[in-house]
Amino acid sequence: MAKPEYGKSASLSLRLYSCLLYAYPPSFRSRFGADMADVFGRDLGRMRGRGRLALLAFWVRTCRQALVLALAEHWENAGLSKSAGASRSGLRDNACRKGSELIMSSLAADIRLALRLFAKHPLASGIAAAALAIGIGLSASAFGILHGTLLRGLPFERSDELVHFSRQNLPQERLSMAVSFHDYWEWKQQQTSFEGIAAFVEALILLPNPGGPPERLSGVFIEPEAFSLLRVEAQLGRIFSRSEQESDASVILLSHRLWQQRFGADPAIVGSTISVNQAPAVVVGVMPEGFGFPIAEQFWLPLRAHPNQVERGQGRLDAFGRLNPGTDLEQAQAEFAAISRRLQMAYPESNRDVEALLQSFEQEYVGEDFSQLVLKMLLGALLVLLVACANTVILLLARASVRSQEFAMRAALGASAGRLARQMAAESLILACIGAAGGIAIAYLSLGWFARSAVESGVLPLPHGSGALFWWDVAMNWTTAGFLLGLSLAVSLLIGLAPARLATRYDLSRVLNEQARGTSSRSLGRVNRVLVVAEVAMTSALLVVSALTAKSLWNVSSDQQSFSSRGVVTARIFLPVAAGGQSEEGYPDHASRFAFWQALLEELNSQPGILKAAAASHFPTQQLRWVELCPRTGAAPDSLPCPETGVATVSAEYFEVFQVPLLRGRPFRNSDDLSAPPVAIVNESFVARRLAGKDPLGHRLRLGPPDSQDPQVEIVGVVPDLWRPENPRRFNDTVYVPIAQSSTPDPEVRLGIWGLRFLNVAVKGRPDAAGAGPIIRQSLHSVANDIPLRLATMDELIERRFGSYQVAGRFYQCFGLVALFLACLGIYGVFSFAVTSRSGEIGIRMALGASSSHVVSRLLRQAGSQVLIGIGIGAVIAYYFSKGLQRFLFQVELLDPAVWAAALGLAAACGLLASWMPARRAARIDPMRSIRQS
Amino acid sequence: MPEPAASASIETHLPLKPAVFQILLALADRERHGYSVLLAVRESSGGRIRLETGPLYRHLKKLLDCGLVREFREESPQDPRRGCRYALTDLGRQVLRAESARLDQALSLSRRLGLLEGAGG
Repeated sequence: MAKPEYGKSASLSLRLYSCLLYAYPPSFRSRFGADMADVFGRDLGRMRGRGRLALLAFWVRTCRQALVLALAEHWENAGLSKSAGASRSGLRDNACRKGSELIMSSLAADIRLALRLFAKHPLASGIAAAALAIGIGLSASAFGILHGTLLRGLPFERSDELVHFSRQNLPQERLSMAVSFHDYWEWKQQQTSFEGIAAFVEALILLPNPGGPPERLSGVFIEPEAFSLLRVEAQLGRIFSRSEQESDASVILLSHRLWQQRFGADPAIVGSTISVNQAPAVVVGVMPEGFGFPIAEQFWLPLRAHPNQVERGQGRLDAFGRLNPGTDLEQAQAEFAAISRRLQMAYPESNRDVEALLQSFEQEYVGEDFSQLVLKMLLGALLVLLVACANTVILLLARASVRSQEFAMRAALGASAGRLARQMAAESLILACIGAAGGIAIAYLSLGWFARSAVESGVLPLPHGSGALFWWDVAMNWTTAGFLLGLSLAVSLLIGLAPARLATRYDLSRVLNEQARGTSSRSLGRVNRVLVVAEVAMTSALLVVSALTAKSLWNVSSDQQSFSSRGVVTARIFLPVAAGGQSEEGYPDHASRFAFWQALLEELNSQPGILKAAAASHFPTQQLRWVELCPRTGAAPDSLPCPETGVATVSAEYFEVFQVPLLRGRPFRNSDDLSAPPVAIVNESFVARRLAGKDPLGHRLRLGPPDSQDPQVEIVGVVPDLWRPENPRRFNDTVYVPIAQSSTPDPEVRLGIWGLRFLNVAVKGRPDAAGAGPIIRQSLHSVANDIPLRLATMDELIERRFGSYQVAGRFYQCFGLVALFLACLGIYGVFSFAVTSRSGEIGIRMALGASSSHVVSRLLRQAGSQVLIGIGIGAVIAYYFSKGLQRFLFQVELLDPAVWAAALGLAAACGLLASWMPARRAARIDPMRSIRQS
Repeated sequence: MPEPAASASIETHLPLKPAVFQILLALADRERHGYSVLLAVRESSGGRIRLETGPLYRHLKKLLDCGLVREFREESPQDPRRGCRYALTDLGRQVLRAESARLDQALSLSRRLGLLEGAGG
């Protein structure tokens, strides 16, 4: 049969699959192997169109199935399964049973012997088993996180058909833009690739809270057809009807969690009226448990987004669709590219260079950063496991070598090679079993920690907020347990392979000769050298990564910032917005909202327990809103359409609260209001990059797009950079403008404060006063009733902001240190064993005149060359490893020479130290005694 | 009507696993090669049965061993990838018929009890 043609990238996958087929019994493989590879190749081609996550999940399923099914086939072939035995003839059945009984009884004897050996050297065996447990446990935890977050997939029927839509404008470097109302309607009418598309947009509501301020909940406005596209029905009641969407009916769908927590799981809630944003709304249904589309929503309101409501190009929607059966993402992308081109030509003003961006729904919400973090976590854990395996192999080889005489004698007396190999395999199986048991405990604890701390603390690097997604479920489950057991089996095979091969190659005369000469086996020495190189390579790779993350954590620590967060308590305050977002009770315009914030700040500043209170759109360390800065200032490259700068809107007291010294000029004053000329304060980076060589004070600039009608603002002061950007190459320019002058009505230049509907308040309390939190609550209550707030200390905000660095950092430091410890043990073991087994040879050398320093330097030279080769290989692994982690390195260059030198130096020093100790012991050998003993 | 001995051997295969039932259904109208069986099962089950290569061939092996399906190899110079093709045997068709009748009986009972009202069926 001719060889199938699948293309270059597929051929590697096919080769991998062919390797997997070796797990099946030869009879099964020869009967179906070629056909299976063919079918797999075609299926793989189909999966390639569905994104990387789907492909990864496909491979995991394939590997799992291959292992499980191959095991079942072997089981049946050995006649161990009842169903297989029943279909065979009586004679064959008996023969099989006899054979299998024999195997089982000798296996039991092997296991007993292995347990006795384990008990004889409890320390060495215990360390090896503990190392395996750590490696297996960490790998299973990383896999559990990978499975619970990335591989589980959306809990909807054929969820790989769900596609998310956004837009992009590449010439303007806007990589993800919301969908405008008009574009959405054009897409909806022109597309044919999708069964349907539906839009949603985030919503916040206030629910009355008996005995407290109303609770602020997040949900979405959504079109009713979204539910049918997701194939979801309400658990109680029904979803919205089309007529409810089109009319102004005030209806709401509740999440299962909200229904249970706030309404006591009362089934009569359906049809009743509740207060939503201080207006009545009818509950039409409760969604099933676990449903929180798209992120982790608590309610759904009907979306009324018609292009008539806004001008072309306006409106911000999220959209998704379900592909028609038989259509893949690439075909849909091609169709949407054509629609985008038509829209660009028809509406050049709003759609110039704007393209539709389609990607799998899951990928959009999980994002590249998080996937990379989790995948690299698994890779790191597997490297630790490999170091642990190498250690265990060293131990088993040393033991096998000590027993080489016994094995050689048994082989000479007629023991089959398989019988001897089985005995070695029993030892590795015992170690792997103990490792698996410990691994289950470690995985259980670490997955529990991840679900509790990392997921709930909201520090994960996700594209749409940092909270857990509704379909995630990180816990010890059957899949993770299956992976763990499969991994332990693989470990057992891996660590048993070399000793078993060694056991089958014993030649009595050679073994006796070696023993007589007091030298060690040449092949054993070769295996040990390879193991040392591998251990050093993997350890130095992990050490480099953990050193990079350590430096990143050091950079993140607040000592590195030039502001003080001590004693600062913050509150996020939203003014109420009615359902649908059209009107606000009490705060309909900018003036009334500004009056509210002013009254609140005055009230707070008059409190005796408070030193100073300020309001701001962003606090230090928070991601700023980037605003175009026109006309061009300074030496910005001409290729950019308009340089951008970060902008924060702050009240006059902002710099005092965070104890930021003013380097030049004056602070904001209360008199800097709408009647005064507009002013701004800039940071040092802005001065250095935009105004190089010029006096910043008195310089004028204009914020907003080129056609902005806003007046120019005058720079009146310069402050230091309050914090550093995450990427050292990224710009850090910041312009601060006073809240009192932020009257701009332009919706795109609302500077992140939604026309003053939302602000952050920061309060520095007196050290002797009780907590500032209750004072903020009280002051807010005295200014206006029923406004919800979210309190947090500034330190908590900083921790949340940089939590993802800490999650990544702690993991890799743990990996690095464990690997270093294991590698030291391994290297010590190898050289210690070499010294013991070659004591006769060393004794003869010393008797013939070799000095002890000569013996030490000779052993160290050997160790040094292996360590150096290992470090060279490790550096290459480390480079590729850390490349994917750059997003998690704060202010760290990937090739930071100091970090690399420190990490690799540490690996080299530890490697040499671990080999120096046995070498020193060798130098103290008494030549006469060692020759006599050998 | 099958002979009593034959019907006894048919009964030993029932009830069929959903995936096995779908594989036999896929082979009911025509003989197919492996990938075609895979696609047919996924399509006819509306994606509910996510059959993949490994499980497909394990099921096929059992069906071949039990004589419900037969295989034949067809060399085709046009499509070198085309390997074995599979077809139902008489026994396989009888088993499929018996399983369909069993399901039909269960379905009529459910209908009589009114269990399918409002379930789109």
